[in-house]
Amino acid sequence: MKKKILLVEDTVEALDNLRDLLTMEGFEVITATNGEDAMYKFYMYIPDIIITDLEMPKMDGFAFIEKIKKTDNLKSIPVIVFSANATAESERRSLQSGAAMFLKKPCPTETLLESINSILGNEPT
Amino acid sequence: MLEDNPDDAVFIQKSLQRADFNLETRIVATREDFIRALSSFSPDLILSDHQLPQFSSPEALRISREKFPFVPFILVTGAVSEEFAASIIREGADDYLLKGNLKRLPTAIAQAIEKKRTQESLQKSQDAKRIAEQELQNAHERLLFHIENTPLGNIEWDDQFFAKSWSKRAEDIFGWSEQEFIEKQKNGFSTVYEEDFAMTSQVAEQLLSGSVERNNMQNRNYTKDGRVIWCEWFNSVMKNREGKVITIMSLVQDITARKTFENILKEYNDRYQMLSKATNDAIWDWDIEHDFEIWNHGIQTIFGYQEREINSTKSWWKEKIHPGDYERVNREIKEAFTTHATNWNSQYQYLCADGTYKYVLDRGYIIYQDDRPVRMIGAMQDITGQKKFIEEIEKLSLVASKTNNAVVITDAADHIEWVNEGFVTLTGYSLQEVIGLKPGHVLQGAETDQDTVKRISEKLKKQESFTEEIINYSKSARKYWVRLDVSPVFDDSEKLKHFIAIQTDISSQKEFENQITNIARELSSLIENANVPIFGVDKNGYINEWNKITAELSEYSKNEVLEKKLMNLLEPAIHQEIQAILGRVFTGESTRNYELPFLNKSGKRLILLISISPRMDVNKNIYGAICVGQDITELFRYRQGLEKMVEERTRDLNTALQKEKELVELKSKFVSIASHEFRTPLSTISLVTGILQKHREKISTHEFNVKLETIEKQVRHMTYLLDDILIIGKADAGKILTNYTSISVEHFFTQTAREVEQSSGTHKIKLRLNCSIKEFTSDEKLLRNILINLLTNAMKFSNYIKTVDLTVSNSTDFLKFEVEDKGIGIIEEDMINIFTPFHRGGNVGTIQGTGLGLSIVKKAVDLLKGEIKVNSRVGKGTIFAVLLPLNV
Repeated sequence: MKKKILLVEDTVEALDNLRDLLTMEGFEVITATNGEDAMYKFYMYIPDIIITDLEMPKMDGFAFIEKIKKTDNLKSIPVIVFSANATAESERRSLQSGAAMFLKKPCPTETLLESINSILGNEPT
Repeated sequence: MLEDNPDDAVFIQKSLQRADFNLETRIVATREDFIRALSSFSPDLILSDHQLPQFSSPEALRISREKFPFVPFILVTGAVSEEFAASIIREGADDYLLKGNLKRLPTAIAQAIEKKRTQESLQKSQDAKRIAEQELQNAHERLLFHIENTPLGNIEWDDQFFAKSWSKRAEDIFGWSEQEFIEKQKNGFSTVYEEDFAMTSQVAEQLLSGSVERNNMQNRNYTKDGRVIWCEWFNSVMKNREGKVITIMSLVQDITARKTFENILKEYNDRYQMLSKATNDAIWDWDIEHDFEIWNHGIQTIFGYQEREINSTKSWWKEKIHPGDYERVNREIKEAFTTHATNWNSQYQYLCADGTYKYVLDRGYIIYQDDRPVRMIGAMQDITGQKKFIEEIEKLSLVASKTNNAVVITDAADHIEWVNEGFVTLTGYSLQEVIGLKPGHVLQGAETDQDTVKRISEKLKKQESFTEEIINYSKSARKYWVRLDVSPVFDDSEKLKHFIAIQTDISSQKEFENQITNIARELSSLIENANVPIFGVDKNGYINEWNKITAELSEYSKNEVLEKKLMNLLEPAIHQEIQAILGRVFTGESTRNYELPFLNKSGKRLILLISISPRMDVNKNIYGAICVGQDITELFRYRQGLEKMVEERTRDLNTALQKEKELVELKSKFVSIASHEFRTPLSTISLVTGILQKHREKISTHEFNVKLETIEKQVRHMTYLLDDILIIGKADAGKILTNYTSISVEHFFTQTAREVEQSSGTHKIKLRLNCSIKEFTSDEKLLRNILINLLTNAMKFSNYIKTVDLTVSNSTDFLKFEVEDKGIGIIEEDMINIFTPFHRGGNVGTIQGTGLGLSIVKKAVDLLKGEIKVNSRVGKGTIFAVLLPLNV
């Protein structure tokens, strides 16, 4: 059973290439380009893990995480923040909101994949 | 210049040179060099850095102020806290400047120098005030000293001859205390003895009318215990500036003892005149052998014997000799006979028919026969008159010896016959030394007033009695003033016999008078000429003093304000306060350093710093207030200016700090956004390379090429981003220098439009040139940047109607070009941020961009001193209009 990843990213190139990579890595990838869209996809597909950007139109990454963490049943779903907002402040706020991990863009592909797998408890493929 | 950074020192020096300051500069960096430079270089201006090795600006300020309180001190520093800047200004620094903003340096220096000049002149006027106050105080103390040490009673009268003050000595003389006398006088009381009243009133009238300024007078007065005493008065008048008599100052002396002596003298003189009646001699012829004596009529006329009484024996004669003289006269006659003397004379008293004795001088001629006296002829002369006179003189001398005054008796030709002990004491000459000389020749000298001498000799000639004051000299050349009372003495035939002169030493009075006059004159000239404002009021608040400087400052002349109320010149708002201050001053409590606002005649508002002290008369009674001031209008203004300056500087500093803070925030925000903008394409590149490395076998050749293209696209985007950021960075650092050249309108716009058209390959640019000018002056590079950005934006955001309009026109002052598209437009909320770096419109969707284009355009337009306007409607299109000044 493939693990489901909800990928939230507003930059087209980033979204496309990240989706391609994760699909090739054997994940089922669901994409969203803003927070509201992501919320909808989250309820609809109930992913195993979420990878989200922070700066997005309509609802930003922080608000999105806080909303997830307010749900009763689904708040344990891990969230990885993957953002170009490479500041300590962003990292602090992300973790405070309930993110499991903060990754700075750019980051080596291996590090990204290892992080996802370790959170999911999988051996790297 | 105290500066440890050589680069900064050179930079500041350059700034000064540019501002055309002709300055000789010495740059020092340490405490020791600074102190050495102060003493050897003696600067006109000190510029100081704040942080120095083992030294700081507050310490430098303290050292400067000790040595040169009036040399401007300006802090020139990199950055200091506003608290510190405010505190060093309060401690006396004249200004401070940030090194980053030296534009104000020339103005600051000029202001500081001007300020110091004002301070220095204020300091000088303050010193002058202190000296004037000290001199006033000294003069007053000297005046009091003299008054307390005079032997004379001192009385001050007002212009109605009511006593204002009454010294302790006056109390000793008259017995009344000041309070008693003033009270009595209110009820019309006067001490003057009735007989002298008319004469005294006349003298008083002369003084009050101002017709005489000084006079002397003698009169009789009653004392408290009912005695009548003789008083001698020395009166002088004090007038105000209008010549009105305000005070009469009297010195009084009890001269009863002297007067008594003078009266006794007069009495004796009268008696002498009666006694000096001459008689004819009595001639006698004595036949010794037969003891028979013949008398002429003299025995009858002189001694009053009737012819029938006369017995012609010697024994009749002899028995009439005064028993006291009898033995002596007999003996003298016998001696004459024994020694065969031919002449005999003797003085004795001889009995008259009426039983009285007369003094006689009896002179006889003796005739001998065979050594025997046989006959003696003689004459008896009545010398009672002469004898009496000598007796009187002897009695006089007894009286005279009891007076301290010098008494001189001369003959009719003014030759000294006799002087008393007082004369010897006063002049140092004994009777033997001066007898037969003229008193004037003995006593007068260099400073003796020759007019007085002339008057004296005229009076002597006229044989009148007189009183004069004159300078005499003692034997030891001591100069002294005497008052000379001279009376002629006549015999019964009205013939002048003698002059009697009484000399009273009045040196101390004279000296006192002179000192009083000098001090009063000195005091008034001191007040008048002091170079600080001095003015005074009497107890009713009327102005009675108004010196030159006060007149200058107030622009009210002395005549305009004298006898007017000071209050009328002051603002009503301070009346109550001034009234309270004056009230305290009149009870003896001075007020120091009161800031008196004063509106002068032409309406200028002055601030006088005044000390108000009670003004006392010689007996320390307060009769007014005197204000010694200082014009601190400038200081006041300066102080207000200083407060304002500190406030301004603090505000400037706050603004600068705020701006600096904003700039730092902006920069850090810029950096963080910029880094975000780079991280995004970098992340994409990283992901693509990750896919290519890990999953090469899973992707087709086509997909592979798409991935490579993605990388190239991301790199291109980053390059744009980098170029734009560099432009903005340069613009922000002020490193873009404008380079104006002449530009052809047609060539420039046509050429640029074509280039943009070609590089896009999708859109058309419709160029319209509506210009009256062919060329204009601008920076071509910046202008190109503006135009390319606007045209590129217009194309990028208009996907459906692919035509962009570019219209160029001009007025006399401006070149205008408009770029118009029919694209997506700009939404309302984005309007205020369209020129903010990295800001992108909310409706751009997936249209690529850095968010830097318009912010670059705006910076370029600003550099060219132009204007940019935008007009846009969402879904309809956007017009950007750029206006550039033609006269550059």
